[in-house]
Amino acid sequence: MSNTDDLKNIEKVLAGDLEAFTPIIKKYQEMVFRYVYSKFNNYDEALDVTQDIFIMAMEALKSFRGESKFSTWLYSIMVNYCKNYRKKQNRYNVVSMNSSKTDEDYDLQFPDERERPEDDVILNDSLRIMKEEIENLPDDYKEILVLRDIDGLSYNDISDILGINLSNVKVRIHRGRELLKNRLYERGLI
Amino acid sequence: MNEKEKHILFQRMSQLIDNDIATEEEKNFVLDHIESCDFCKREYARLQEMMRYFSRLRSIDHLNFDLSSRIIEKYSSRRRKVFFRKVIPAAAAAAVFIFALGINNSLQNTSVSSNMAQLKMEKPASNDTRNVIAIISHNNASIIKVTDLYIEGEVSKADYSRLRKDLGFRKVVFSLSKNDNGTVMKNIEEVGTLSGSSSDGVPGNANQNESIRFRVYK
Repeated sequence: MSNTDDLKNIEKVLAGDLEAFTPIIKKYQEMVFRYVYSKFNNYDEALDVTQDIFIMAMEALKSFRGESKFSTWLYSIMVNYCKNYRKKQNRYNVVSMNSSKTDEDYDLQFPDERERPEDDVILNDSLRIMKEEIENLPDDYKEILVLRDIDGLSYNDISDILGINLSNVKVRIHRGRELLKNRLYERGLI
Repeated sequence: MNEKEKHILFQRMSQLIDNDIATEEEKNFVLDHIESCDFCKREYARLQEMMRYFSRLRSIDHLNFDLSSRIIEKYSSRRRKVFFRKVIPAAAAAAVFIFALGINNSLQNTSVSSNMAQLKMEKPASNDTRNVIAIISHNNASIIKVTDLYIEGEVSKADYSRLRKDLGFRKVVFSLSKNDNGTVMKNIEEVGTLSGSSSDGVPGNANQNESIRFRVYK
């Protein structure tokens, strides 16, 4: 589904056909959830926040002027919502590089994936290490790598969504990748 | 040149992954170096391996169910709540306003009814006073006093008969006010209610030059 399809569905939603938002949710729910989960490390909380983000997007749909892609607009809402939510809830644990916490002290709070169909993949040690190391990255790097390397957004879209200039986007991506690569190497994954 | 300067910076490799190297020439230089340098080749291979893990993460469906129905339901529910939150106070305010308006109208109607009744009661008297004054003036009589109870005036005896007829059913008392000698008769003697059609009620022995003082009761 292209941005044009998104726009057609948005028109229908604005005309009162709420069901027209279904394909949009289906298209973006995984990406939104993935980003939110990377922020909160709690499956249920990420699920609630993902729903709230879509609801907020529906409520704000009238303000979408189509100057950017719908996905960029939606991700901007997502990023801002998560920032505000984190401030409000004060639940987000930033794992500092200098943290004195041991691995035992820090509970990564993975979702209970064993109950889900993707058990086999998630329980794969390699992916688990990968996820852990992404989660352990400083927030700025983690956020940008999720958007770039998992969600596959362009530099320009990330720049719009995060409200930072293009060169900063690139610098953060390259530094984040380098840090992650070194940690994965240390863990013996790569 | 130290060891690090001999190799390709990680940033360049990362740019290569993103196909973000400005020129083809530069890109070929980086690729050639990676091919020929074991250290850079290993580094680049690690980076590519990491990117494959990213791809595998991307392919994992964390949400193996559709969120749309519950999101749309939740949105509709919120919208209803917002609607009622807006409408109920407005409806309540409107109800209070209408109620207050009703009371006000009711009070005004009571007041108007009362005023109207009063006017109805007053109107004939008020109109009749004007009528009486008009009749008196029309019959060359002068008005001496207007009180709540009566209108007092004076008229020549010659005009009195006509005046009395014009006053019709009204209760009129009169007396001679001046005789031929010019004596002023101050007291008005009531001689009874006179019907205008039956008699002029003028004392028979009265001189035509005399004037008559009269009171027309309201």
